[in-house]
Amino acid sequence: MNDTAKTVLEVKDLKITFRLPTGDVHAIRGLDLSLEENEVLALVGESGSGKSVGVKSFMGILPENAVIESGEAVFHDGNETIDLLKIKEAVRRRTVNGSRIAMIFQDPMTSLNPTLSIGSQLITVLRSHDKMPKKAAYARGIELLREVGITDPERTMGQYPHQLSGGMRQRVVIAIALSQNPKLLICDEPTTALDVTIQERILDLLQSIQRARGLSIIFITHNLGVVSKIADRVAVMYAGKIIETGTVFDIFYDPRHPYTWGLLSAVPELSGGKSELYSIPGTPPDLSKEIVGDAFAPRNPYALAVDFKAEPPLFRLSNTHYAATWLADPRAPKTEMPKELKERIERMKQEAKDYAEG
Amino acid sequence: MPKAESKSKQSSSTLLAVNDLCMYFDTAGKRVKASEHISFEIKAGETFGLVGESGSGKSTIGKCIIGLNRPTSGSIIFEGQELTGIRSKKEYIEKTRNIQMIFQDPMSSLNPKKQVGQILREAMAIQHIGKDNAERDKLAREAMQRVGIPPEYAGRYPSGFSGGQRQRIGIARALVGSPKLIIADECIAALDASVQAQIVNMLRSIKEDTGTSLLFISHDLSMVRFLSDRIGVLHLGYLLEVGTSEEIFSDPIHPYTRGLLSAIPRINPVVPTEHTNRYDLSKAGIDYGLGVWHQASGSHKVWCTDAEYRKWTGSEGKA
Repeated sequence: MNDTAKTVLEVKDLKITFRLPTGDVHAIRGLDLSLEENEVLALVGESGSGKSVGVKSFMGILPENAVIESGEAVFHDGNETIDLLKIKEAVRRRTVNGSRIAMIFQDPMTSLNPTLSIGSQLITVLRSHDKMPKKAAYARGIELLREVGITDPERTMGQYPHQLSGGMRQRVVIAIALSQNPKLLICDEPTTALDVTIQERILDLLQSIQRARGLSIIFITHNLGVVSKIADRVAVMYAGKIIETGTVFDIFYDPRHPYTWGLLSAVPELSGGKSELYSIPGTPPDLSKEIVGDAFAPRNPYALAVDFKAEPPLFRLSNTHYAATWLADPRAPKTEMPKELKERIERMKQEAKDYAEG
Repeated sequence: MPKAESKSKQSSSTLLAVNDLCMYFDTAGKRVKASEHISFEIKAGETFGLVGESGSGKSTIGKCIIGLNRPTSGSIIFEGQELTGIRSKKEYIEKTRNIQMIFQDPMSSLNPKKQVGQILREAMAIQHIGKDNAERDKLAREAMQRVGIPPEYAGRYPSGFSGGQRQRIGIARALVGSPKLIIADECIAALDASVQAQIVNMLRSIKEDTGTSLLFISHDLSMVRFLSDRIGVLHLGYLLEVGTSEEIFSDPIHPYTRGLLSAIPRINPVVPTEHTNRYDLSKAGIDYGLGVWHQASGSHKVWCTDAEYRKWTGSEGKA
């Protein structure tokens, strides 16, 4: 990352609470993140860690019982800065959502209208923001479908969502998301519902579009294989906070937080041969209760006494790498990651070295 | 069931044999061929994994075995008894009593208005297990214990559990009748990675403790690899390759299997996924309809023509 890189999104101290009949659930408990231009940031974590809730607040699509307690999410576009959490709904719809920030979701079937043809949905979107003549919109629609790798766009324009396969539908959704030339694309588990072979193609597509257009992407997923393929930077979330963040190399080759160790260890190895898969013991904390100390401490075999009393700050390990664990404190006893994971990372490094040498 | 056991003595190790199974659905003047000439067998105590993309016919096979689909042709032999062609529902239920199923979405397979204890007792009552409710209650609590749900929760409703816990309850319900075969249809697809690992570890230890066979249907290749003794690869209704986990993963023969394996994202940011093995049926020029089984080695079989087999392996192979 160089100094000239421009920040697209800067989130500070975001706190979101859900008001439920049974009490308040603190889903996001102080989220800080920043995203540069032309950068792909992956948000990873278990379900309930707050990945989706966070990005939904940027789009203003939180459920009604969600309350933004504090924080800001500043979006930079040229000289203009917009706080996405405070913007008026009408202004957001006219000038931000769809046009400058677009979002794609897990299930393409629910993002498309089943009663309208692909063509009419694309043309509606294209004409909604700028008053484009129908013919020009049609031509632009064809162009977009071609950009997302649809080989017979004229035919697809006349088809309905149910006539397309899951992978084709997700391509159409991506085409619609790109139609207004957004600066920032938010992808919420876009390949989770797809087969591995289709997933690979959609990831390739997103990557090539990202490079060609210089897009910034926030990519939410729980699949670490997908993260290692697409991301420049990774933020690991746990219980509504980022507990470790760094470049893909920091996170995959030199993870520091015991939760990240657990996530990496839980990925089954394709070489097989193990008698038991690793799983992180216990369950995520109940966010309706007050959390004392490190939220991960009860599940953390490496927890120190201090973890149960005080919450660790985000320690700076390098220019790019930060981790919120007391193990990173200079006073902490030196603790190594689990042996199995260490050996696995050694194998990954060797594999990378072999690959680089051809 | 001592009677069934003596009957199937000549093939004591084979629990389930599927032979040339075809399942066609006739809808709106169009015939959908969901399964074509499927043959495989599952031995007692073995885990057989079925992998394939959506629409490849994985679930159809499971449903044919348990009797939810009526196969168009072919035979299914369970514990030495032919299951296809049975007309009476009662007889089918009687003969498949030793087969249980676990589904993908535990919420839709558990009655939300019943307590977990009730759900488990009901399953036992239907199968005539336990002489009265008190005994069934005791068995239900044992089953809960075994899947890692505290028995005190027997009075809770399904909504009071997390997704992983609900799936455990679904597994407990499948286990109460001590089945010989469990069909697990995408039973971990809806769960978080870490919870998936817990469920898969549990299935593996149950299999080791009870000797139950498992038909594990999934699109997650790494989980299938971890859990299965043998694997079958499905595509467009055809079973293309069958072999031990080792054979399928280290020596795949069919180009489709190779393409599928290379599409799995590697956990390594520097090493990209290989694109060389990308599979495109229209360009590969393979007609699945012309295939026959070719034996590559002990248990490794490929469904293809003689010419294809020669091209892929460089040897003749027994047809």
